[in-house]
Amino acid sequence: MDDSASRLYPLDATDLAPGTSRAFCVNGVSILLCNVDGEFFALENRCSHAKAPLAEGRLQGHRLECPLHGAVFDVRTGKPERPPARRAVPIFPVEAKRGWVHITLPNPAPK
Amino acid sequence: MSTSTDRPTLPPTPLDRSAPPQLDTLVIPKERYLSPDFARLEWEKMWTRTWTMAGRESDIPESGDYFTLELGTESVLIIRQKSGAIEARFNVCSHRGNRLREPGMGHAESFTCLFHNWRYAIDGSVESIHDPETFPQQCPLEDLALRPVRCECWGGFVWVNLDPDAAPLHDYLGVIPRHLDPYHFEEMILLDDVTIEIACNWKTSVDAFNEPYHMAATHPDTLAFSDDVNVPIDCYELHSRMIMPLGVASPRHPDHGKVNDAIRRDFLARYGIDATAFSGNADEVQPAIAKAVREVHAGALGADFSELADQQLVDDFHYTVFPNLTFNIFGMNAWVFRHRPHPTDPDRMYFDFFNLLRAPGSSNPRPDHRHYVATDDLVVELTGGGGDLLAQDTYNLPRVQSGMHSRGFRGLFLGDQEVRIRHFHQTLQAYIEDRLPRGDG
Repeated sequence: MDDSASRLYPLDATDLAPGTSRAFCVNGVSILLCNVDGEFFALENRCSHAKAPLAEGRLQGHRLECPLHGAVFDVRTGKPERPPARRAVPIFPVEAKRGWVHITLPNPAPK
Repeated sequence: MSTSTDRPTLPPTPLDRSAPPQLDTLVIPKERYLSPDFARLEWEKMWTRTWTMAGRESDIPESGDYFTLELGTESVLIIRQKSGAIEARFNVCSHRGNRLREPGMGHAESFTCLFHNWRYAIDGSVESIHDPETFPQQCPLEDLALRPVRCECWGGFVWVNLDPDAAPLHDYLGVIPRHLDPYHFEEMILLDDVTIEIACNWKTSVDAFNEPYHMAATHPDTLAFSDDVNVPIDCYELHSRMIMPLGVASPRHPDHGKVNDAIRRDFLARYGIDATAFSGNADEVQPAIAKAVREVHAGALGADFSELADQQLVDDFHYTVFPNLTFNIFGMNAWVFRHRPHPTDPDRMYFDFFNLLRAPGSSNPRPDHRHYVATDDLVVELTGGGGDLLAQDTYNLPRVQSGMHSRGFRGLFLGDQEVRIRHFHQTLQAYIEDRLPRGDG
């Protein structure tokens, strides 16, 4: 990743249990960090369909269900698995280090 | 396990024969399988009045969990309530008729219609209406709640009935709970959850599994380990049963009376018995398997099979629950087929396969739902095998449907081995003529 185009942000994931998710505000953007069986995935906390916060939806395995209309996304890819969403949710690279998760966001961050 | 120790012992599954049904021998008109007019009649008179298995209770353990049943032109939401009860509502917004949720399962704190943002609580009541002051006729919230659908449970299955005045599920099921409670379907877990779209009428699919007559031609390999000749058939008021002996070679097969390689491999070895050391005769296969189930598998599965006879731990106890459920029950496990009609096309249907294992102690995750469109080379991989067998049936079905359209075919010319199909049509006809059966009692 080009350092001039992106930046690493550390997030405290020490008590984010497997099967759960939590929203973080990073540079004014809401990011949802998901722990799937000990592996972390980050995506924009906003459904690509009607912009609802995905943090209020249920995470089951790698599937995240939007609470508003039931769209389902694969948190590994951001791609929709069930309508009404048709577009992917942006995902961000993550790297876990000693309970902290470093997330790479484009610089400037997406609006 | 404590699952079985605290409850009273159930009476055994009755093995006595029912009285022979009083049925004619006429040809079953083929139009019943082909005609859009008949499909509409069938929908109005039968599907909207019968109980249909919608899914598994265990799939919606928590308040707000839901799944849908897609049945003909209807979609029903089955929702776990805060009280723990399971309720069903039509999956349709009262405002303009939009579907609230896509087919499948999920979790909702509320249901918001994406068309105009009308929002409903999980109990179906209206939570909010967008700009309610712009409705001069007012918004009568009780009238605008999601319409309820009758919903009751048996055997770990959730059932729905589109008729608000329908008799209770238990009455409808009739003999079924008394016969099948000892199998404890409520303790079964899903191993596979599969839907196959097939180019045939839903009854063509029900019929294909409703007789032992097709085994020799469609599944010739199975004659090495199943008896397709000595198959008792019982017809009840709505439902029916046949018992197909397994672990024995058919009287049509040269190995009849012998313990052949297929029986050693697919039965003795599969149940963990040392098949090469087994020196028993053909009559001793069933007791050996039953012993292995009771002494070895029961502990591993956390299940108690003492309410089942040896025969029930080996043979296929095959029940058809009218109109669209096929149970193949093998004791430890069961295959349940659900045959769903297409909303508009009598030449298409949805075949659902629930592969179940009685393993109340299991922590296995629920399998993902898999959806296929039937093709000639489709072989669905199933836990524990059986995919090849199913493929032999799904290969036939579009061809049967296509052939029924021929001017050279009049209708179904059925023999005694196919009496359950005739009985099925008698029941269907009773619904069509508004002579609603009251249940098997």
